[in-house]
Amino acid sequence: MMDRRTFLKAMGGAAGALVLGSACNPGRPATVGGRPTVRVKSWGDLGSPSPFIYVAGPGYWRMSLLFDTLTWPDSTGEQLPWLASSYHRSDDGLVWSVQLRDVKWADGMPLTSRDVAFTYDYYTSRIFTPLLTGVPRKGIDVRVTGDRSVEFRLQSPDATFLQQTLGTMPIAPEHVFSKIADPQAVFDKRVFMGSGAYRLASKDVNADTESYVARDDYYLGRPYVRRIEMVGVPNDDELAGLRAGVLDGGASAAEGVRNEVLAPFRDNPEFGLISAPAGFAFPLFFNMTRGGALADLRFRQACLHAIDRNDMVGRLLTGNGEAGSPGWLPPSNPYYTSDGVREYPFDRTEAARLLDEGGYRRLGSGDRVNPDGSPLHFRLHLPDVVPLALAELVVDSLGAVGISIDLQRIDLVHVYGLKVAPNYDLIIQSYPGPAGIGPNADPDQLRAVFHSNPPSQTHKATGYSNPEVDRLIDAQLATYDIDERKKLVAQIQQIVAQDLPVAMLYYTDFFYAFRRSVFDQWYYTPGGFSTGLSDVYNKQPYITGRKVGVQVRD
Amino acid sequence: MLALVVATGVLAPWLAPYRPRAITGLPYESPSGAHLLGTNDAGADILSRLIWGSRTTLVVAVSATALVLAVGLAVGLVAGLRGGIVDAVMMRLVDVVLGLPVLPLLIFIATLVGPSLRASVLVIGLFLWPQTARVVRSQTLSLRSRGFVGIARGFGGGTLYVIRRHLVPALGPVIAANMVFVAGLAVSIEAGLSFLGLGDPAAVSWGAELQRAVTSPLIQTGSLWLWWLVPFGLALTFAIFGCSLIGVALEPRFNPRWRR
Repeated sequence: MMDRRTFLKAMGGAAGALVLGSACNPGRPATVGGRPTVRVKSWGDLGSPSPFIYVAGPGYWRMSLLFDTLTWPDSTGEQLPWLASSYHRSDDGLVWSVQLRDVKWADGMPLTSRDVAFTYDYYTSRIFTPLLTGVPRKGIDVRVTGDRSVEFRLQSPDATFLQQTLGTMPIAPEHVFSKIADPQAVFDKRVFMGSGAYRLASKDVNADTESYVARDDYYLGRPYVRRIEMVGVPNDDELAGLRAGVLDGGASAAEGVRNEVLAPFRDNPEFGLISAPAGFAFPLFFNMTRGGALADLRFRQACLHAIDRNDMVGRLLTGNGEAGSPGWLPPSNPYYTSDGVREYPFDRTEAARLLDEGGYRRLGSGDRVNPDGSPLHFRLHLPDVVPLALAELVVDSLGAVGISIDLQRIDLVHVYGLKVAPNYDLIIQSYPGPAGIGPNADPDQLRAVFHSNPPSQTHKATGYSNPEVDRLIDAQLATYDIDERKKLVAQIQQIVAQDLPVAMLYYTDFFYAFRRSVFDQWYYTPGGFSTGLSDVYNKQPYITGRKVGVQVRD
Repeated sequence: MLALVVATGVLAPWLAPYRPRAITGLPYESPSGAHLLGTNDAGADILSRLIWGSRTTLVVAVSATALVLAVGLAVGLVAGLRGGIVDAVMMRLVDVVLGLPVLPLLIFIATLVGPSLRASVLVIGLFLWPQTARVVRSQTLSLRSRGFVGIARGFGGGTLYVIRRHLVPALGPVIAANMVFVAGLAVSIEAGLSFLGLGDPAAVSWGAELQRAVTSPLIQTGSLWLWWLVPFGLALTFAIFGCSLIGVALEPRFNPRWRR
């Protein structure tokens, strides 16, 4: 028979257990031996985590958990030797020598310099979709100089080589992929076998989940984060998922975020919040091939004078962004300059003066007409990732100086179609796009926009060609000296701000909120990782448990 | 109710305090004297967009109904008057369209065509005409067998004369009742497509504004939903309910099935 005291103790214990049990999220995966499981958002079926079939930035970072590169950046932005034990650039800048660590593939086979040479040849001898963002430049002679040493011989110096080849190209196993003729048609477990810190444990497209488990035999040490789970959240609202306890970290929307949305995370010690300037950019492209006003510098300058970019940042983002620079690069980019870069402050009087000077007469209705008497009217296309409010502000601003605009919403794929054709008047594009780079990435991004012969037309300033800009873009790529390169990039910014083939409207800040008790080493990589990905998902802190270096936390 | 919606749409330029896209305040302002329903995410007056949105609703309702009327009347009249193989072929076509799963197909086509108001009208018109065609055909068959049509033909009246002089006036009330239903359906389908992001989000329409409000990250904070979401939902309900009431009132009087 249970006495009263025992009964009360038992009841008290049961109640305590109930309270504790209810306080813990039942879905919260256990932390084992101090090594956490981290739950982040799933990106749906963005390809598979394999070097030749991943899709865009989110696909790349998932793939990077399974496949390592020769170098990789930490929170300082410096490229650390990763698969490489060391690397060296020759004095003439044409030869990069790489020594490899003693590494084994997940199946136990050794990773050798032949795998490196094979991977480069495999990438450059095939045609991949533009969504495979880490394909290295062609024209490099990769020579095996020993079992664990390899040389990359360039045709000309390349300032992006370290980040965009050594730090981006995932090394694939020759003994697997040499037997696969078309890597884009194979989806079995062979193509997920890499040298990375994690292995793919599960993937359920219907449930929108996938999980990655650490490899305890990883060559840098046992990864700090034991397991990474990717979970779909309704409406891709990561911050709501974090609040609800479904995720352990969540990013603000790329199109920008207002303070009201961030307030619950700023005021709560349970959460940490980090930010990075200029994660995303919104440029207004003029189709100069259309001729007429769009090819008229005064018209384009008038447009930028008519738009109050600072007001946009305050109005739409409550200050969580920066007004666009006419020189394209944001102030947070190390290569940004304002020296000699023409500014276009908000000034409707100046806009009206430029339009009057260009012969665009204003009628009694307030609308203007072209010099030939036809209406000064354009269609503005905007992809669905561009906030409608932004487009409406542009329409309102241009309407105030007599430029009539109608809006046309289209999906992102069609935007690129219109850009390439080119078949549009005006487009507000969101950047980064398939190139997968952010505004803070390497300044060679200017090539994609302003060079007359860019790698693709999707980001090209349509109809713009300036031989001096071409020369400067080519020259900066071949310049390793950072100060010298900054001078060249500054000149590019000065010229394109004067020519104004594109009007950068604003850049949005990125924010990432996270649950401190689970994992608190998040950071935005300066200059981005891989080709310049501006997301928070650099694998370095998961693996090491630290923000700096390759040494794994105990 | 419907008259109020029509009057609002027609008189929008005079009733609305501002142009629908004019940025007249700061984003997310609460209701005030300057903005009776506050402002949206861009700083545009919500009341003005509500009023101008009724015009879009009217355009969709009228255009889609006109399209349905044109196709339904043509198919129904030709099938009813010609009979035989023409009637059989046309009615099988009607059966096929009636048998299609309308909503998934609407979404599928709207996705393919892309978001625009014109596409919405076309898509709606494409699927709503068979019911009208059936009603018109059955009435035409009934009227054809009556004496006055035969007499008119006997005196040399051509097909077009018979249609204009005898069939259309006789069909008028039935068509009117049917069209009111179609208009209500068109309004709800347009709003539904817009809400799913398949309408023209750049248009100032009730459905598009509903979608915009729902996808705003701030809609669940404070009472923003009260002056942004609710008015558009109520307006839609008002318009669709108005159409339904008129249809319900007219149908027993003019639809021959009710008389049986």
